[in-house]
Amino acid sequence: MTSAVLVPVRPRPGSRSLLTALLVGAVVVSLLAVEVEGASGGGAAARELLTSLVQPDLSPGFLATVAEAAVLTVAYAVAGMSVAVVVGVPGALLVSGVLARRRTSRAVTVVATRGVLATLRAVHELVWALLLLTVLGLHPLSGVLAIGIPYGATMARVLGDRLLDVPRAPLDALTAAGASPEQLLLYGRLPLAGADLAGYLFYRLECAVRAAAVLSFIGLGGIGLRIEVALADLRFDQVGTLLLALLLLVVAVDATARAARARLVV
Amino acid sequence: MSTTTSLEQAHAGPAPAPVPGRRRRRTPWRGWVAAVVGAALVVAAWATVLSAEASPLPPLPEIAERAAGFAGDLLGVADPTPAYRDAGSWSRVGGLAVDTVVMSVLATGLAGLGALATVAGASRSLTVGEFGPGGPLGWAVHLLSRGLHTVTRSVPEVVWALLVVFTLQPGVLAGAVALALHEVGVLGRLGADVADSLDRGPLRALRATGAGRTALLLYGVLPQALPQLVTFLLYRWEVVLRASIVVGFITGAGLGFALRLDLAFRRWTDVALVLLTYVLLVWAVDLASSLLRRLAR
Amino acid sequence: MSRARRRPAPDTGRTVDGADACVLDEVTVAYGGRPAVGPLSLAVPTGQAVALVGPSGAGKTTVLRVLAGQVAPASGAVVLAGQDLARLRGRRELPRLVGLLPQRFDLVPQLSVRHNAQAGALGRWGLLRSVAALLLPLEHPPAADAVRRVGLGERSATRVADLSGGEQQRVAIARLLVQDPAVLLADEPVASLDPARADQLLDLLRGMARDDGRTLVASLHAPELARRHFDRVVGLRDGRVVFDLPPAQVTDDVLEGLYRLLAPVEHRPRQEAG
Repeated sequence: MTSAVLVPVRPRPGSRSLLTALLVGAVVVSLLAVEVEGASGGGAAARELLTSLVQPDLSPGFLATVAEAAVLTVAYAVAGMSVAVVVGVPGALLVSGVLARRRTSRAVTVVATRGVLATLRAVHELVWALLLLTVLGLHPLSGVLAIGIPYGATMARVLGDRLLDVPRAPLDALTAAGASPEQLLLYGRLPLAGADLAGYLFYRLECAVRAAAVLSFIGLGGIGLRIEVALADLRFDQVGTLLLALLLLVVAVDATARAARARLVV
Repeated sequence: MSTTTSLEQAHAGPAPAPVPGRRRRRTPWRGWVAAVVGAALVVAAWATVLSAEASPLPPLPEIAERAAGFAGDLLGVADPTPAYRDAGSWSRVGGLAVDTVVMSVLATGLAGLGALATVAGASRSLTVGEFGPGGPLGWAVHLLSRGLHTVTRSVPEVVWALLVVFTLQPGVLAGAVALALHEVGVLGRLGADVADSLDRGPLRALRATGAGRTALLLYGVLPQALPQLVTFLLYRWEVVLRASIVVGFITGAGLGFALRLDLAFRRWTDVALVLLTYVLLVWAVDLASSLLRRLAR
Repeated sequence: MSRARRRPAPDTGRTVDGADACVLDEVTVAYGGRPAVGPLSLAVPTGQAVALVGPSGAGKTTVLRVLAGQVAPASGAVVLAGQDLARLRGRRELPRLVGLLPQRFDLVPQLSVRHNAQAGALGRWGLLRSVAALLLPLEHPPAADAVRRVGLGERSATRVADLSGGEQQRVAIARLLVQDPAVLLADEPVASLDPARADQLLDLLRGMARDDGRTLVASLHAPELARRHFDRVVGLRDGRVVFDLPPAQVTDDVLEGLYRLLAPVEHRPRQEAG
């Protein structure tokens, strides 16, 4: 007969429990480290913000402004992604070392590229924008490169990992048929990594749209600039409209990605 | 006259098991169409972007000159007292770095809790699908959670920060809340995708033993999904830290705030010191996150 | 492809009748320090069709992979068409000397039948030609011939992932035809086929070997197929040759011996030979 009483068991020390303890501990310590300053505007400001947000300004004149800002934001995102691809594809080939023929040259390029990419990636796109602004001025190129450089570095790492992380056996078969590293890439690694890459490209485009939306940070146009203007004017209803537009953009890219993947895969 | 193209290969999926009687019909030129459409979009984007701002690009020699000047400023070539030779600057930056890490850990923790609380609701199979209550209640929970994730995810951290400083006092907490608000959406959506792609066999077996929905969640879903979720959480910690500098810029906390002040006062060597600390911090967190991910495995 | 095609290829040794196409001389292979195969010696004359039979774990796959140059022997020599395999490895003439039909086919599922077949020619193609063949609607006549010969002419634009297992195997054979090696190696080519299809497939492989003057070495788990389709049957057990006979002399007694011999050694830790 089984008893309904639960008997305590001594937990087994393992990496999982260590991890749990570390994570919970870290969050608790950070909570204690923060002095809770309380609300500045208090609940009143929050309430005003929220009520205005759900009553967006839908006047035709403002909607036209929003549409223009949205187009510009998407344009920044797409242009930034084009730079990211130009940076990311050669970066991926270098950092994965798939084209290197000799072991020593591969090790050198892989380590060097990895360091460069890690640095480019570590800096947030808006910090890149600040730095580029100093050199290029308030030219759109500052914004495009600010998205393209860190995104390209990230793409290089992810793409490089995927090119290495493909089934070994088909590659061996191609090598046995006499394929060179370049041919192995074209006839083996790229098609084998295929689906992941497409999904990833769309996912990054979605991120790029969000990044482009805040390029106003350095004074470039787009949805972010409009949000800052509306906030400065305390026009929360317009903020609501703009956030709605951003939401629609992100959802649209996401939906396109899913539709494209569904059609292209399986 | 049919062939596949490189773009199409790049979009092709992993080998699915052949389904009898279901043959794919392939449009051979589809890859080329996708390539042409993509190229046209890129050209249009560049045209739009370049016509948007009035300011012209400075001539190349001037760019080079400015870049060299800026680099010199950052390195403190002409500065008699560069920040990196001053112990006070180092301790200031060190304290701010701690603030920044605290902000990122807090944000990731809050986002993780938020995502954990809403992930079941956002999962299709646990609300309106095979293992959910279904009906109006199931749909309401599902759509609400999904909507919450979509809204929070769509708004970038920086915009959340702009909104949060209207209600919360500027500081580390405001920054953490702004970061967490965006991150809840990201983690929630990733988690829901994980929950929906779980192996259903164990769940069905559990239900067959008469387990209720809570038991199903605790004994079937969580054990399967949690390791994956923790891995995502650790991945995102690095992203959060990266973003914390710009959020701190707005909410006035951590390295971001220092960067803002140093830029405003043109204290270039301090800017360089902040950026260096920031990059080192991201590297360190990258390393820590990959070590912790190994523990999660 | 003309069926009786014989290319003048003196370096492959295909036309040198009577000479050995491939020779294993006292070869041993070790996996992780433990001996898996050998010492094992085997000489296959040009144009012969040899079946390797034996219980699983006998080392059949390992022997084939050694012959294909994919596994380096721990000791002993492998000679292909009079040349030392150790010196051929990584060289561009190796794919013309020997080609392996892997048990799992090892195709690229995302590519079409045609592109998978064309991959057999990559060793002879430059980079430009490989790119053009992948991106442009160009046909490589030998690849088209090979695809037709294995009966997939209608489906050459289909993705390999959308084919059945048997069809995928025929794509792998087409790739091997395009690669055009003097020695064909086949690892359990009928493992997943029903008896009728197994006969059909072995006829196809035999035809490929006979018509083009190739040598064929295949591993089989079904001894009766080996007796019916091959010139010579080699029994392997524990990485060693147990018998080496013409098919007529492979009696049921001999076979029973091959498999029964296993019984006393069953208690030993199994060796990790493919």
